[in-house]
Amino acid sequence: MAPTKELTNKEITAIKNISKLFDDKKYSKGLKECNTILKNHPDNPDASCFKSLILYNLEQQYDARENALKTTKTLPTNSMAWHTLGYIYKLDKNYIDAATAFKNASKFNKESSQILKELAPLQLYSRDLEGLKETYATLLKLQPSYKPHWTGLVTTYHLMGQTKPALSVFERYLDTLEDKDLSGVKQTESILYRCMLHYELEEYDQALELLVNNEKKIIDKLWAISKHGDILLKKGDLAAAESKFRDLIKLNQDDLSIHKKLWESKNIKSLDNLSDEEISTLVSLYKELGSLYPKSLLIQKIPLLFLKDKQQFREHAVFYTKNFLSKGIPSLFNNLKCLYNNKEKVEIFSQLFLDQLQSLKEKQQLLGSDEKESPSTILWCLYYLAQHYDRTKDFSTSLSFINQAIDHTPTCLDLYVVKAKLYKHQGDLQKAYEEYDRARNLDLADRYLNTKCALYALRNNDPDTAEAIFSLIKDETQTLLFNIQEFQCIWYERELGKAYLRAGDNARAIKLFNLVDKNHLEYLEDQMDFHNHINKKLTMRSYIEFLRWEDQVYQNKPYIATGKAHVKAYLNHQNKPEVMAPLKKVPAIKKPATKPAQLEPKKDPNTGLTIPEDDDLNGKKFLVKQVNLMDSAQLILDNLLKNTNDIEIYSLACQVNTYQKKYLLVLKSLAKIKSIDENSPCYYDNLVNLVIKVSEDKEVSAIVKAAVEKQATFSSDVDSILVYNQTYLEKLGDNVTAQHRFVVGKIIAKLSPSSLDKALELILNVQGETDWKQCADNLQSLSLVSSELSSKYREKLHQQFPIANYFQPKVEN
Amino acid sequence: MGKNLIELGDLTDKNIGQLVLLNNTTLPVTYEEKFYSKLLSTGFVSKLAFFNDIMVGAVSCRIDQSQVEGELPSLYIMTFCVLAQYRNLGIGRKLLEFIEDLCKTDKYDKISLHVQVGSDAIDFYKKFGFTIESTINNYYRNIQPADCYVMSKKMTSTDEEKKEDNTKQE
Repeated sequence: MAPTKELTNKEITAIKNISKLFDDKKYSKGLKECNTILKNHPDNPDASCFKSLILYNLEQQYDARENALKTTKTLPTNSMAWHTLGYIYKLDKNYIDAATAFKNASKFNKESSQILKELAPLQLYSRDLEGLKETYATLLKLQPSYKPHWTGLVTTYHLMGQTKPALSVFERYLDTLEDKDLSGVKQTESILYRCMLHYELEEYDQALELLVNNEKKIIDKLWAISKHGDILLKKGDLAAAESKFRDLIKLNQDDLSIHKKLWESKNIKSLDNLSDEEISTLVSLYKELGSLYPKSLLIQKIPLLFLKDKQQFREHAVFYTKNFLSKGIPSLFNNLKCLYNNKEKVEIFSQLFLDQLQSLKEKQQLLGSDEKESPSTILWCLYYLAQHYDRTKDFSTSLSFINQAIDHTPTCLDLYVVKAKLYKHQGDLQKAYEEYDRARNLDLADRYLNTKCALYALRNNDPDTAEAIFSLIKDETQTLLFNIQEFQCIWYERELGKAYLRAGDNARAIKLFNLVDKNHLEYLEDQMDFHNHINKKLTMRSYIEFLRWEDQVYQNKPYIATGKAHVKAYLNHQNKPEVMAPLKKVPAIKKPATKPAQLEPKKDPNTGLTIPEDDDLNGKKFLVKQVNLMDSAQLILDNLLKNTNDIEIYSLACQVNTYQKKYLLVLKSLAKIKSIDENSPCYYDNLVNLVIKVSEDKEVSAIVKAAVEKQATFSSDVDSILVYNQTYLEKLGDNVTAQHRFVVGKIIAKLSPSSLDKALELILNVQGETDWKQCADNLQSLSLVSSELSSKYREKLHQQFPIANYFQPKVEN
Repeated sequence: MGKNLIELGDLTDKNIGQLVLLNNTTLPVTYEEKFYSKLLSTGFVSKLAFFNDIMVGAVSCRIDQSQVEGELPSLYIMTFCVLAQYRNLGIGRKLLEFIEDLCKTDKYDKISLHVQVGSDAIDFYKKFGFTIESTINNYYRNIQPADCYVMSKKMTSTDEEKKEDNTKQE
């Protein structure tokens, strides 16, 4: 390396000029100046760093990154070089590497608070809490009077679960504040946040003291009353707690969580297994509440949850359902659905609504009423009965009721929606779509019906129709895919992906599922700048709640449903099972003619840069770019496996990890499945797969092999497995379900093609199987084992689910 | 039954499917798409009736300009129906009242219509002051009886008639 030459005065002025040019966005000119200086002083940090930044802004991101990296190599102890690299990584959304670069930048410039301030949100993003604590501690030393550092340290401690130091730092911080900093909302929040911390520390007396002493200063009364009640519950002062929750009910009668607390104050923790005494407590409580708040639907409904006596239950059900029926409120069934896992109550509903129907037909009156009902009451009664019998899986009765309702009032579109659901539950997705489309055509202005109908089209493997419907409500100037991405319309991305998954186009499916993943990542990335902003406010309670929300952002139904399909797509890409359902070639609705002239080039709303056209719609290139597909699947699984009790997820984990030869991880998932459901057929299925795979793997270590055999309790040769099959079924005894028989049959077919008869007998015994979706999955997995078997299984399923599309005899085109 | 809510609503290109379904269910004659597509243009008046938020009845009319210069145009009812289960609840009355009010504000000379001989609707129209003008034989092609009545109600009245009306009301 040549010795560094001194800069001439002229050059020093030139560098200052570059900074100005950069601020004025005169990038090309700035770049020229940089290069001039670098010619004489190749190691000049200022010129080199500005060059990186300018290149990035000239959309030469790759060169910018390379230049910044090179600079950190030639000047490894230069803070500015690292700072620049970190900044560019941050723009790339490569937050992990950005954090490392900022850390280095700070190492070589310990006095800079600017670098640490930029580092903090990155550490929070990756939840590097130890590092974050250090960052804030250093920042506080550098700038003790800067408020956000204090609150930053408090939230860090709180997130780490170190509530005690969080509280003490927070109190010390409050001591530094003057009265004018602590007025209005800020005052309330400082009190309530301390209360929250004390409560989490189980220091109930202190928490209570804060609430009582500051009653007048507290603005968020609702939270305060509710917390007050919670504290009293914890302290065992039930009567006082009850009065707090009654105050809350006075304000809002229809919040179930408050009612639950009220039960708790009556020493009733849950509504399961109530004693007679507890029931009579609840009866009188709700009698009282019912007369105080006669209009609250929730108060009217709750007795249905706890009443056990059949006569009382029925009487209350008559009372509760009356308004829904005569006013024609369609949501009655949805309100009562939660009671349908109780067989006795289902039986009562069944009798009750049949009696209502009888009474309406004979006298035009509801039971126990002498008022003449309007003709629509009978309609809603039929509507309920149709849903009731759908839920109890009596398809023909349900269909008959919905058809009676349609004969009665053909213009009522809710009826077609229920009819569509009916067909859907029976697996006839074609008819389901048709019925939904009928409802949609009655009110084309209804956004709900339009979008839901698009969903039914996607489930019917007809993306073109879905797109035609969706184009009614999307932005006309953009393509559909761009639109659904922009709106983060997760269900559309997922269902379109699933349609491709069923059609065997795994690459395209994965690409769509990836969009959902991206949406969720965006939720987190969007907050990057928010942290610095919110730290200046004193709204600590909601901030902590928000951060806790972030921690479980992947634990929601839409993500989990997509994630499962996502992993399945990777597995299918490897295994290539039989295609479940090809996409419809002729769409039910033709797409409106596109006007290509109107399609404007897409612009990124943030940068204004043009977004290039997607030249990889089918996802082929996308898939090639991923080095190891199973590693990609593992990344999705990592999100799914957080805090879950979903056997299907563990089963997918077994399959992926077996493939990756991570046998010990498979054992871990198996143990989890067993702990959730001892008799789960998934357990045995994946266990046998593991045993077979381990026995085939020549490189497996003896320890792993031993661990697997210990878990299995049988050895890996074919005969032992076949013998164990028998033991397995016998041990299950009365708990054997069709799914158990299917799994065992599949294993026999795989291991011993000569015993196909035995396999067939087990698999075709579908007695008691009620879910066509499970059967469709089975059928697909069986196709990997034996095509003869799967075609016989299909025939059997066709008998079992006669109208389900997926089991129809194959028509050769 | 005081809680029943009867409301009138406009026909739009979004809810026209409901009118098609209603007419196909209640009328013996099936109209073609062409018929419905012109309903939303000028020269036609339609109204839907909702019973507790469900569409159960509708009327659609054509405005006929008079051949004689200076004479007022008249209103011709093309379709008028209420679902069978929802009759005798005042829905038809509400629709007819709407049409009559329209005649008064927009100055239409009379309301006329064709009705199949033997139809229940004849009594309904008579109740509201319609009279049978004439009979047309073999008016309908594919349904029996094929004959129909022309019924009408005069909407503009001379001053004397008005006076008479007023005394009647008193």
